[in-house]
Amino acid sequence: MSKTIFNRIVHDKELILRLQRGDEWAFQLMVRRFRKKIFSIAFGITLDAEESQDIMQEVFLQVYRTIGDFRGDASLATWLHRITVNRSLNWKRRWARRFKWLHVSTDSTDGRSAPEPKSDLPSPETRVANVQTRQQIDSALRKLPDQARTVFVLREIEGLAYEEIADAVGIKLGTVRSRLFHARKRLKEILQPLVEEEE
Amino acid sequence: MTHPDSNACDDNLLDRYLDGDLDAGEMARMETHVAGCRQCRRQADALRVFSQNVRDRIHLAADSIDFMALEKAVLNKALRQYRSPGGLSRFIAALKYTIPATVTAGLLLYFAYFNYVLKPPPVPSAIINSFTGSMSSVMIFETPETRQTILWYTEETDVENERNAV
Repeated sequence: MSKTIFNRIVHDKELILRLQRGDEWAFQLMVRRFRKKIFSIAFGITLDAEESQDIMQEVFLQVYRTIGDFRGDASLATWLHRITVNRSLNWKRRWARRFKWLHVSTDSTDGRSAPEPKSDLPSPETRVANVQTRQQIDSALRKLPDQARTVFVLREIEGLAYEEIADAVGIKLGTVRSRLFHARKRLKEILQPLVEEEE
Repeated sequence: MTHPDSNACDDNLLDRYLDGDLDAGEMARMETHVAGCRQCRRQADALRVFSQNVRDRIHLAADSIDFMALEKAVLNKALRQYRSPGGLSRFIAALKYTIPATVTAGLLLYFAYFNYVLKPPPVPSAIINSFTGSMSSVMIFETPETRQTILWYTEETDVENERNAV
């Protein structure tokens, strides 16, 4: 009977009720519905595919464990976004602590180029897309502070509304606007040389 | 706030313009401004292209992931948790409450033991070897743990001792 859940639209409310009753199929449906979105947010923040997969799994397991406490104040998607953002930022903080001795500021203006963090891209032989562009994107995103990048990713990549971002990150609406503004301002500075190169 | 039709560039408005966060009037004026301002147009284009590139970058990363395998792994882990309610994580979570409760209970038992169980047997407040005189009454108070005896007696004068003293 439960299998029919995949053949029809199940709204969040019903999904949550089923999850709270411990319905395996509802859990599977939730994973299938949100897996790519969760991965994308985690990847946008961490820029690490391996870690993003782990984060995705942890997010779903946390939801499975704590769905009983979910009161429905926010939507299921917002709740998932919030857990994903927290876990991704925590991973970034752990990473920063663990590799502090390796960390070199990418904001250096003394002309020396900072070493690029190890990319998770496939080997050069298998790369088909424009590697240089990807490296430029990664590099530009890495230069954004974590908080600004998080808001930028949620807005630009996931297309969340300001209110949804505020709920997901746990900040005020004004802070969302100001972080987005600073993210774009910084990006304009970073992209300026590239734009000039093209002229 | 600088008005876009004043022909001055305004980063804040450009930001809201990129977000589609302007009302119809502001949007029309901003479009006119961007059409005539090379710098704002270039910045807007660069940011739009960058956002599109980031989206493509993330889609490309997501395309290389075996989501079905991940889904299976997540389901297995979740069901393992569900089927073993006494699993390690629940045990660790339970320790949060059991450790303080055990410590409190231990302390209470410790005090109770030393105050009640190990209470020394009652000792007599005085030992009377002999007395002279006539006993008027005896009262004995007895509980499971204690026994108290109260004697009332009429003391007689020791005539011989008094004589010797003189």
